[in-house]
Amino acid sequence: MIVDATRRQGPGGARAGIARPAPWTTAGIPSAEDAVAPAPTPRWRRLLATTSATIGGVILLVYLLLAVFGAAIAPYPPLEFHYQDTLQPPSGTFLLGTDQFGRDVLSRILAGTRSIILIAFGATALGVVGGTLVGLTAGYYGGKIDETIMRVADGLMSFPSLLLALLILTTLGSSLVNIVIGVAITFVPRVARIIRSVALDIRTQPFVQAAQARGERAPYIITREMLPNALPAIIVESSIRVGYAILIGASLGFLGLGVQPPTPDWGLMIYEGRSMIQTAPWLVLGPAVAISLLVIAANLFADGLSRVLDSSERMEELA
Amino acid sequence: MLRFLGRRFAFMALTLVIVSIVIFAVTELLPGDVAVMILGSEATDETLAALRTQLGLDRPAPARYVDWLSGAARGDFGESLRMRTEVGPLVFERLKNSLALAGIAFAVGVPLALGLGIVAGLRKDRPIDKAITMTTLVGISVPEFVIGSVLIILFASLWPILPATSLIDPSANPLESLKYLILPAATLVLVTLAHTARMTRANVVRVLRTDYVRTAILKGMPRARVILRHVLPNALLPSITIIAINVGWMIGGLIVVETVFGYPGLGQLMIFAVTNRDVPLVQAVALLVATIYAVANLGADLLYAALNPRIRY
Repeated sequence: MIVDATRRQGPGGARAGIARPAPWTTAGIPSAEDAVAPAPTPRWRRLLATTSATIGGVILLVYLLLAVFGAAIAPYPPLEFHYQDTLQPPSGTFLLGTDQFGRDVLSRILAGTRSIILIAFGATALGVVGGTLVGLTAGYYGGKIDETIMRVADGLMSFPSLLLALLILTTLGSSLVNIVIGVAITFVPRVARIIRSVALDIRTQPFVQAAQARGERAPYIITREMLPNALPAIIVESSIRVGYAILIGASLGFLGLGVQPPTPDWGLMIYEGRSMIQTAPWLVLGPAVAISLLVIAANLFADGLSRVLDSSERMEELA
Repeated sequence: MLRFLGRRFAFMALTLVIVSIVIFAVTELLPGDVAVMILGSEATDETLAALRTQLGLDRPAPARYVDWLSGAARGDFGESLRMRTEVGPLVFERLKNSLALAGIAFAVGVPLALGLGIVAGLRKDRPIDKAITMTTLVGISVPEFVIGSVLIILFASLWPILPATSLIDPSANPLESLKYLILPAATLVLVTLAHTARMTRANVVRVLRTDYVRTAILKGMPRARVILRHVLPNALLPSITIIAINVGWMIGGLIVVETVFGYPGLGQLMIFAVTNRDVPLVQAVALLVATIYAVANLGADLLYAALNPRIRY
């Protein structure tokens, strides 16, 4: 995906595989080549060189694998009751202890990976696709269309994310899929605003004007000319969104608006364990560590990615 | 300046109109209307129709929207479906509690965050910066309800010095039972602190790289003077905007934190309204919260424009 982004950077992007010229040859001399392909080293390799991105990426990969195989490698079925062993502290038999029904906490955490990963990537994908299309359209047309779209986006953004997601869930009802939709909708205006600012820039590039001059239609220019050039920004934005999706999704689960019991869900496990927190803190600590580590990994990865793909420091982070 | 003020107020009014339309439309789309919710699904068609006429639900949506909004402007949000009381007084009582909690968190968190951000920015890449950056990364990564739960384990179980819940009488003055506020407020501080400190650090680093700071250093100005005269005023100006964004985080944080600690504020009321599909209550809380957020943003913009002579529209 990342390699792809490099290749599509523009006419010069195809040369991305060629070794970087020695720094002294072009030092200080701006050339057209620099403007088109500023990164002759493959970006994925620079990404690997960024420690934080590597650590974050590896942890994310582990979580992805757990989302697929977690339920299979769990030591017990996540819904199985062990009536003799309720509220057991962590031990050799139950590595992270058991809950009030004697269910194995580790197995429930492993089985719960799937729902949070689904929210993280489902909501991000949906929200980024929607936001990108809206942002590119607004940026391409400009004028009244841009003005209208951005006013509506401002209106949607004047809800704090969690509040908007709550409103949407009030309408749609509580479920995993609805959390994905709700979180994605809160992402659309935020992604759109970022991508629009990129699009305004791309719009003035000669190749867009060339496409207009040869009579290409707007959908073609937006998807074939502008979209590939907005990809680095889109990738950075997606990686940042993943962390937010996990935070909002887990919070909604905690508030009881996600999957319903007895399906294992980290946020819900913490909510249920909350009343027993003083006698059985392992009920809360296990899923708490699982969520926190996942978001930290996502943020580390996003941090490294944005440093490689986007040199400007991001200032606006959105509520 | 007057034109700028006018534009900015008009912009806020427009935003609030869009917000109110979104709130009304979203709650309108609910499957089954208010009449069904009150009478239950077994009600006969005649009684439903009678109640709809009584509540005015048979009128077109735009008319009801205008009614709702003009009522809301007067503080009349109708009657809660579940609590059977006027929504207005209920909401404002909870708002008072939430404001007390948020106010404490704000008063402690903002200066602390700015201080940490400045220290980290000035000592970029030194151990203290790395320590602050790593800690704040954890701070922005750990959800509010996890931080809250960990604080309960630490300060209510392992070292029991504070109450784990804030189950206080909603109508009591929250400031009288200060110890119930400490853990929820600390959770809010930790969450918002991390964001603000990181952005402040980025601003300090950015200003340190500017030409005018380099000039000041090169002309031999003492470092303390460079920092006080050139770096901080320019680096802290954007913090006004950051603090306004903080209000947004604070609202999201309040919803979760109040649930963690059982604190009787607006956030907890919102969750109650959402899980019980109490439409008038959802509408009132959402509109109130969005208004607060819009006003905070307006305040930040005006303050920013007032303090930054380069911004004149």
